[in-house]
Amino acid sequence: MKSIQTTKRSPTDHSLCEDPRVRRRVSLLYAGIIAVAFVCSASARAGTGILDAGRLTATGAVTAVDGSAGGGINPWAVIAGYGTNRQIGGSTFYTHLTLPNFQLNAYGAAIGLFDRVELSYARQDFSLGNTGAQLDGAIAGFFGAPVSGLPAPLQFGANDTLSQDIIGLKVRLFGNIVYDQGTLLPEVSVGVHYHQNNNTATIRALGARPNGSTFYISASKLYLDGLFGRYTFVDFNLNVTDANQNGLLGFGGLDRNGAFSNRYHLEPAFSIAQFITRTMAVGYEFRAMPQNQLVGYNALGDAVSRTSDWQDIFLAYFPAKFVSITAAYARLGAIASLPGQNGLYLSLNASF
Amino acid sequence: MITRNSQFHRAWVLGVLLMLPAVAAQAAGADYYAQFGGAAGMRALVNAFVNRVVIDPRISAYFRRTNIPALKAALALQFCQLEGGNCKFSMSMHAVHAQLGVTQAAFNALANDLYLTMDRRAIPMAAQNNLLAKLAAMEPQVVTR
Ligand code: HEM
Repeated sequence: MKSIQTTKRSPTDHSLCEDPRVRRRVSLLYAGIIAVAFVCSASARAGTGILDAGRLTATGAVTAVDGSAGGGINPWAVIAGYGTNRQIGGSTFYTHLTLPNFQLNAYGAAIGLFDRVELSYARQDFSLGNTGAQLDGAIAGFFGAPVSGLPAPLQFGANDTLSQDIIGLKVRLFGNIVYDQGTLLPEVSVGVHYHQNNNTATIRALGARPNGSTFYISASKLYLDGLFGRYTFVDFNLNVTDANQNGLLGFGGLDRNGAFSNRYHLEPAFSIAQFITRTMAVGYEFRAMPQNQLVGYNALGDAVSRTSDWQDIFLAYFPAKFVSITAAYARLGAIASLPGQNGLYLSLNASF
Repeated sequence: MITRNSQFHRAWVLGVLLMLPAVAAQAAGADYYAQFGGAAGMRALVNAFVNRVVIDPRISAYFRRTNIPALKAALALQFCQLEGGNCKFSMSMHAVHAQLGVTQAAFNALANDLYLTMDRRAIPMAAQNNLLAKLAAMEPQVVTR
């Protein structure tokens, strides 16, 4: 827990640290994680009761940044936690991503019902730090106006934070990553993430919608005797979405005559992971992002709209069945006119 | 107006290809039975494994009325056959477990006991995982609840 506290207090992370509401919420979450991990390790040998985490280590995966069981940026077909078809499981997570111009903090929890249904909640805080003032300057420069003349929602100033709440539902259709061996059959789930962006005025000023949904189908396959006789994991997803930067910049955009348009795009995503031991895996993820036009059909609009496909390489480690730590290098590319938003991703996950 | 980059198209192809069993068919040549230590090694493994299972509080209740020596003999034969040791084993896993009410949690606990035993006996990882994969595939025959 200590290490995360220090991460949170990194010198560039003022806005979050100074917001007492966020602080209180995050420390409550830590308390929750500790409590869950504690109760679970106590009951781990107790039998095969309804909360007794009957699945094998790592089969609940880690938690993707949108709150679902998965990798770092992609949800996978597995149901969160360690519950079997007769059990209930769950997980909580905290993720911190440091980018050159932004900081992303995400935390949340998921519950898995009978290895069939997963309900999840995630909160993402995307803090701008000094970048807000930089963006103000760029926007004002484009219009040849003083910053004070910009509409209020586009004045970010210092330490502004874009935040969103994400509620997820995932339903496993068929398959089991552990038991389906010697067959091509993957585990397949469908899901939806509903996002509510809390910076309504700013998102509207960009020409987008503050709330929206991403629908997905996910096929996950684990080869227990995969490459090098180790576990090899592959996942392929199709997302149907109009999210800008996964909802951080709202949903949809403008069509040529300046009217709002929310055309959904079909976007592929995949993850691969190779286990080195039973409890440690390295992997790569790719998630295509829709490209909508924000602000307008002009140079400023092009700059702000430019979206890169998200990628990461990760190392995930389970020091114990109920705890995992994921470190990754995430390449999010261009965000809000600023290219090269690539950086270190750290995630802590506790589950039962 | 912004248009998308070309990685997008490559992702489709790559993602679909990855779902194909690039990995699946490689184990054929390996002599896993030798890695288990042949007949003597397999017997010793099964012995230690079953001894662990019958005192595992998660699942010991299932084995209260089981003929343990017979179970050990049957499992040694079965594992020998699965790992290419030229043994003949033909018991129906469905028939043997039909009345036991084995749950997924019990099944996984047993798998857990097996790999812990194999770890302790320093069986090479690839040999362990080959056996685990074959046993995992029996879940539909063994688990009834
Ligand atoms: C893939 C996994 C499994 C395999 C390959 C397997 C194999 C076998 C074999 C070969 C026998 C016959 C032994 C004999 O005839 O003496 C047997 C019996 C038995 N198995 Fe399993 N088993 C598996 C999983 C389980 C699980 C998960 C449980 C419960 C936790 C279980 C409980 C039993 C019991 C209680 C018997 C004795 C039945 C009797 O005496 O009639 N097995 N198993």
